[in-house]
Parts: sequence; C-alpha cells; structure tokens
Amino acid sequence: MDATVASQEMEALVRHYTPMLYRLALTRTRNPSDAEDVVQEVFLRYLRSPHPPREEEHRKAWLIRTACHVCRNRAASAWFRRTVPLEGEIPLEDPQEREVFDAVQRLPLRYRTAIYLHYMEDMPVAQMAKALGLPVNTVKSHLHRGRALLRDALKGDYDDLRETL
Amino acid sequence: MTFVRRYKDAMRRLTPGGLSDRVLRGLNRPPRLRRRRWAGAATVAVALAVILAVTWLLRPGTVPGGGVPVALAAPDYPASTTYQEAQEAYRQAPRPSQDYLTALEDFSYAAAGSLLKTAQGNRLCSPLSLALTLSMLAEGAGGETQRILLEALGMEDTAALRQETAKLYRLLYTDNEVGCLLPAQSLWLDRDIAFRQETLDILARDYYAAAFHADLDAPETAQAIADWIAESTRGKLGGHPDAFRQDGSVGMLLYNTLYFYDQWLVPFAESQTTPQPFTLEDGSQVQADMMHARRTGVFYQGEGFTAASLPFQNDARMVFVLPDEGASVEAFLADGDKLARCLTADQSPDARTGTIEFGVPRFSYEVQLDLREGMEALGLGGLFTQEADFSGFSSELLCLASARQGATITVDEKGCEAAAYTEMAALAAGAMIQDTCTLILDRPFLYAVVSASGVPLFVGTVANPAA
Repeated sequence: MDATVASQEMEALVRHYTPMLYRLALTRTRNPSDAEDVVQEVFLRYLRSPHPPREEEHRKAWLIRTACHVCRNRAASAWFRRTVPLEGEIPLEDPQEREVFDAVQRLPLRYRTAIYLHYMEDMPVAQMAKALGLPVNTVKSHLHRGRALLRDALKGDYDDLRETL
Repeated sequence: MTFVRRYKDAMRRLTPGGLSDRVLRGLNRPPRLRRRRWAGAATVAVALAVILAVTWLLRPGTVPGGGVPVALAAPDYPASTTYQEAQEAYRQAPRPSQDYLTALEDFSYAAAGSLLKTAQGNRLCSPLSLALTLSMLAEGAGGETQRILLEALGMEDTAALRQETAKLYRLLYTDNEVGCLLPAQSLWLDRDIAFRQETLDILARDYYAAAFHADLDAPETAQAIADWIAESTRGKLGGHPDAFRQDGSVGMLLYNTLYFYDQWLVPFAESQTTPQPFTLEDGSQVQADMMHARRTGVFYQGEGFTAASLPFQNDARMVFVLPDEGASVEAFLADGDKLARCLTADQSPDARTGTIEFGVPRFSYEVQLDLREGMEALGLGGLFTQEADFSGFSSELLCLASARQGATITVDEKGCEAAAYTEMAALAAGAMIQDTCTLILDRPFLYAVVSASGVPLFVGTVANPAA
C-alpha cells in the first residue's frame, strides 16, 4: 500500500466523518470530552480493523455502529461510574436552541439516537436500521416515541414534529 | 423556525472547530482522560504523526512512547464484492498450484487428526488457521527450524510458500451479501525488541499480515489484541482482554483468524425441525433439535461409515460422516489418511447419486485447544526448544512458549457460521526457559515462616488442614 495515498485517504475519512461521529457521541455521552475520546477510539479501531468496509454506505454504518459500541463500553466502565459528568460546558447561547438541544438530550438513549440520526444526519429509516443493527419497525417505533416525547417537552411549538414518516 | 432547523443549528454550533485536526494528531495517543471538575483549561495536545505515516517512516528499532500499539506494516486487503462479482472473480483468480493444494490438504487432515485426538466432548479445530500461522512463522524462521516447518507444510522453500499462500488468500477471501470467508493475520512485537522490517513487509504483502509494535505486557495491548480478534471474527471470538495478557517473557505474538459464514444453497425449512433423541457415546440419550431435508445428491456408504455433504451458496460444502452403529468417531481420528478418506468420501469414484434424507441437529459450541501436543505429533516439537531459530523476525527471539487455538461453530436452518483464531507466542531473549515443577500440598507437609535475616520465626507441620 502506498503510504502517501493511505495517509491521504485516512485524513479524508477523518475529516469527512468526525463531525457526524462527534455529534452522535455527544448525543449519547452528553459530555464533549468523552465525545472527543469516542471519536478517536472509533478511528483507532478502523485503523486496526483487518477488514474495514470500503464502500461508502457500509463504512458509514460501520462507523456509527462502532461509535455506539464504544459509547456503551464507556458508560459501563467502573471509572465512568465513579466520576461526575461535566455539566454547564454546552456553549449554546440562543435560548431556543438550548431548549431544543436539552429536550433531545433528556430523551431515553434509544430515542435520542434515532432522533439525532434522522433529523441531524437525514438518514432514512432503512439506513438507520442497518447502521444500528435493529429491525426497521423498531427504528420507526423509536422515532415515533421520540417525537411524541419531544412534542410534550416543547409544548407543541414545532409543526414539523407532527409529520409522519 | 422548524424543529429540524433549530436542532441542526444547535448541533453545528456544538461541534468544536479544529476537531478533525485534533483527532488526526491524537490517533497515536491513548484517549485523554476525562477532566475533573477542578481541572484547569484545555489539555496540551502534543503533535504526533498520523499512524499510517508513522508506519512507513518508522526506522527499524525506533519506537514512539505510549501504551497504544503502533502499526509497523499494513496489508492491502481485497475489497468486498457482490455475490455475482465473487463468482466471476473466483473463475478468473490465478489458482495455487495443485502440488500446494495437495500438500495443504495432507497437512490439514493430519493436523485435524492430531489436534482433535487431544480433545474431549464436542471438538473443533481449524487446520487452515494453523497452516497459515505456521506459514508466517516459516517466513521468519532460519536453519533447522525453517526446515521442519517447510517439511510439515509439504513445501520446498519459503519463496514458493509465499507465492502460493498469497494466491490462496486471494482465492479464498470472500465477502459478499450471501456469505464470507475472511482470513486475517497479525504480528505483535514487543517494543523492546529490534525487528527486521523486511520480514514484516513480506508478511504484509504476501500473507496480508498487519504488524504492530507494542508493550506486550500492557493491558492496553491485551485489549487491542482482543479487539483485533473480535473485529476479524465479526465478534464471535476475542472480547475479553484477560485471555491475551502476557507475563513479561513474550517477545512476539503471531495470530491468524478465520471467519466463515455462508447460507445453505437450499435452506432447511424451520417447520421441519423437530425434537429428536440423540444417543451419546455412553448409550444415554439427550434431546436435539433435528433439522430435516430431502435432497438429491452424492453419498458414500462403506468402510464403517456413511458420508454425504450439503453445499453452501458460495461454493463451499459441509461434509457429514456418520460412523456405523456401534463404531466411534475416535477410530476416524487415528490417522490423517483415514480422516481424509472419510471426509472426502462423497467425492470418491465409489460415491453414488441418489436421494438423501438428511437429519442434522442444530448445534453451537466453542472450544479452546492447546496445540503443543498436536504440533509435536506433526514433527514440530523443535519449535518449543532452545534450538529454535526465529532470527528472520529478530535476533532477540528464542523459541515458542505456547501455541493455542480458539474456535466456535453454529449450524442452523439458514447455514453455518464458524470462526477460529490461532496464537503462537515466542519468548524474548533474556526470558528464562525454566524447568517446571508442581507443588500441590495435598498430603502432610512442613512449613516455616522465616525472617529476612534467615531466623525461623515459626516452624510447623500440617497433618489435617480441615481440623
């Protein structure tokens, strides 16, 4: 393998996927520091993987699945349970943006993840199901419940939360 | 403003600038620790090269600090394909020579017999995983050690072995929507060992082996190895890092993994699966979920057994051999020739074509095998002695300390999923090759508590520890 090409490919991969993976990890860990660590761990695993997927859709699904896995491992570790999550580090000055962000972050993890992937990353349900390793109907159910909880939390202020898939 | 717009704006604002640069710099560092409530401002990031650049620019013998393994060589794996592309690629791929394939088959059946003889209960081994690991070992072996490895593998020299292994890898490698066969290799060298980059480059090019420099005693390395095995076996093996911790004496670890998944050409109907008695060796019975199917195919009856096979979609097949009533599987493990004959009987000229009523129980299990005894039976005992020569990897390696295999298989109505890993550990120079002794205090014994200055403080005997 040509080192220059390989380095350039890897750099392009990191630059393309880091924002998405960071936001997904932030959604799941609720902590910017942890989220950054998760992103590094995901790319380290990609580098160490003997069979990293090359095709775009498979690669995206692999990265999302690995990020969820790494987040889950961190949450389960004893070190994580002993330390206190840092709060007040979310720099959102606009109160309405803050309100929307907090409402999503208060959702249960599985609804939060579905809302993030669908609304932030514009992922269709079938693609989300593949990335998360879940049946399509389960993903639809997570989105449906997530939207219902958001409607309650945001007092029906947003019409687009009422639209159906 | 819509919820989507507001949410997207919020999330974009929360994505820190320069994050990709930090990730690229940090790829060669362990994840930074969570900041405590009382911590100061942002930690200082030390600039390090991107891991792949480090791979190719690293001079022999130089090692960056830190506990995270550093890649020394990275193979260029074949791409995944569609099923149709795989069929076409299989037809076009340059094949290994018939001599090599015959030698590999002979080795495989001999190895299977030797390895399975040492096990009990549900048995499983991967002769191919062992063969590929030994092939890698041969590349870095010298003198008599290389000779016994080549002889066991039925090859004349490492140049031929290298070429044929590369062709075999490309022929076997399958990754499509129907199934996969994924071999993978890796080499982990202790960070205090000076190594020969030329050997690692050959292994990357012809054996598709990734090479890493790491502190082999560090828990991070055990985790990295467990993760590597889990990744390359699609999660079937690896996992817990404790199984890969080393004790300070190992200078090199060699791994092969093999992952197989394929679907039956014609699946079993789940509605036909029924509970049925299965008679054990001792004559007692257990209930098994028996899958049923009627197929037209080739079968063999004779020499004390019946054999038939079921094809998978990607051209592999699963052969089933049923010893006649009253006969045991042990007799078939007695030697490689007998094992080869029964496992290839469905392809022999005496096989007949007809209708086969299949009853195959669903099964799933995992095994761990110590390979040393089986390898000694194959003439490879010299790898574990002080005379072993692995100077092709490094002048600082001694002999093999251990060789083991983990494997798992699941067979159900849809198909078969199986995985194996083979591990070989070589001692570092400076590690003491010690005689061993067993001291189990299961009968009356004496003891003393002795001070640092040699004075016995207490002396006694234990006649009955339960009194």
